[in-house]
Amino acid sequence: MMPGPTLHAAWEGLLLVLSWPNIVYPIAGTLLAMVVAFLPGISGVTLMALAVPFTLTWEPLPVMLTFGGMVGGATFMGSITAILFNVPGTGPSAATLIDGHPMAEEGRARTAIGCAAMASAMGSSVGIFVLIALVPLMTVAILAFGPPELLLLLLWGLTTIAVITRGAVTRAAIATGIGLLLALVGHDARTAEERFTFGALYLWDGIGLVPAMLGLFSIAETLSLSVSGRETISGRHHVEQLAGSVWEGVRAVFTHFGLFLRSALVGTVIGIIPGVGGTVASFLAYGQAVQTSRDREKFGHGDIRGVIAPEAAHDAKDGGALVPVLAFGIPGSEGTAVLMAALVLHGLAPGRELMTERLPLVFVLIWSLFLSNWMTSIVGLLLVKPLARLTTLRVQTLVPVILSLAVMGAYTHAQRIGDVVLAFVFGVAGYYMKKHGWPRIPLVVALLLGAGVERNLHITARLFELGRLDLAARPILFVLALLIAVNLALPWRQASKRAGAEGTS
Amino acid sequence: MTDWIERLIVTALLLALVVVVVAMSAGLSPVARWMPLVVALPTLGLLCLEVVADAARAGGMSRVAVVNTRGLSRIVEGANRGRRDSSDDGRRKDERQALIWLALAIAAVLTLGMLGGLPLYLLLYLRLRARQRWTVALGLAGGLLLVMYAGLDRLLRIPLY
Repeated sequence: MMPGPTLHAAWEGLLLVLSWPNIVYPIAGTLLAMVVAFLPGISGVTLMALAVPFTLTWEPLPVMLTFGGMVGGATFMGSITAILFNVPGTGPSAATLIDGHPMAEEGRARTAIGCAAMASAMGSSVGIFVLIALVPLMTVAILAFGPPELLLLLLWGLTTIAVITRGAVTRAAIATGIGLLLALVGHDARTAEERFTFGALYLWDGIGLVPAMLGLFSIAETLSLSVSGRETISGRHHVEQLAGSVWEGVRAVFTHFGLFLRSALVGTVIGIIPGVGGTVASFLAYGQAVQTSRDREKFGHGDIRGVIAPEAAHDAKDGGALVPVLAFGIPGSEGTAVLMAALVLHGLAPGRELMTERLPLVFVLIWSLFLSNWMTSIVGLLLVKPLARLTTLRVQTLVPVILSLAVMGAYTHAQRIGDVVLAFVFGVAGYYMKKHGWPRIPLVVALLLGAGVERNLHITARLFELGRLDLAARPILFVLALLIAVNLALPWRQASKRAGAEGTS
Repeated sequence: MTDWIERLIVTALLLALVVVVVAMSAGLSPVARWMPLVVALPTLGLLCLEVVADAARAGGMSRVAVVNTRGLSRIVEGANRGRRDSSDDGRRKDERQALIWLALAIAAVLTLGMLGGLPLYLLLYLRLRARQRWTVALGLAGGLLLVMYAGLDRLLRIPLY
């Protein structure tokens, strides 16, 4: 049951958000973030980081309102480019493209966007309500996850993605290994030794996820489209010829409500755990959607469930991600790190004081995020028709536009021309990987999680050496180890099933 | 170059990448090379298996079974080597062109900068490859220039290369 002061603060926060002129701030923040997030590689984080200096003179209330709007506004738009052009606007959108883009290729872009918008808005609501319910219980939830649990969680994520990726599992495992090795480029965290940099100053900071992702998906996709011989992405020339409707997509979320709820809860829990982030949330939700389905062979070929799961998890994660930031000042992602920096700069230090004496302000942030998520989805739904029209444009017209956006995204993320070159290198590599059936998603996810795996592996090993790892007191470890074992056993089980089926036929 | 040779080259390149990592790890301290070797050695093993599988597939592809009404007649070794149909040639030509345009894009950005190179590439591609009308090509290239200059450079204050 929610204590009285929390409920009172929640109500007070809601009134503050809805009052005039306060309501203008989250709306402006949301719209600005939506526009910026439509450009691949330029995430809401970039916008938030740029906005921090401009808001230094503001009062804490408008800051909370604006940043809440920005966090929510940036989340959904990346999924639209993923669905339409196979270009993930953000890391987490990469999971949406697995089924979202095949839907667009079948001429069902409207259904996919409608479904993504509804799953996204409702997913964020689940995340936010869980966050509100958890406000009094935040401490316990976070302390249950130490480095060993995080390590196993990350390994579970990697094995899930390797197993669920279409194509041979061996190739997915190799791609995961290569992604992990690429993540090790730069410096060793413990000895500060240079590792695999070939003496290049540019590689000291490691291989950036944004240029790698834009290269592997966007640039590779432009090459692939160029040689595909297709006239348009959807194969249709007029928007009237497109199949499916927005409402079909919206209804699908309710038809698969169980899947939606499970995915939203996966996203919320992953969001709560610091350092894991939205990409893992999306892929894990996608993984559980595949694993819990009887007709899993439909995934990857334009199954609407493959859109519901990552979208619900991705947006639900935002609510969960605020838990460690507000309670302990532990940012779980780049976005929450920037948010925390903005809070601290305005004298709002996360922790006990913020969660007790300034609780209404915390709820201002939460409601602002809630409003922003719904607003983004509604605007997204309104824009479905013109956006779906893009899939009827000639491929050769879209190719240079997508490439230009990818180049802009690769550069503006860190303002290094080396990132553009890197994106091109990954683009060519991604094209040949796609052409010859090498999965790219495990590589990207491993690149993202590699640093976390190494860090937590070292800490866990050290704890073990010092005899400070009491396995009996960590039941979560056993659950996670069991899940990893299931993942590893799955390919053999499927192979033996196939062999059995072939033997009987 | 046939598809199976290209496939083998892709696998071999990935293998070479992992071999380089293993070789470079030897020069690191035991602490720094622990994680790379933990990942690289199993990956190397899997890649070796994949190279063998690719080579076997390539060998298998070059054998063609000739079947007549009485059943299997004979196996022709290397039957499809060097045989390419016109659609394959067309695809390879498209692929070469796409790679050339990609190289032109990066060259334009590196030599003329983002503001000059990217809109110029867009304009040339739309006119010469997509055969779009001047109005469309100029409109899109101008729009891109405007987004970069007004949006990124002026508004967001991102210094462009």
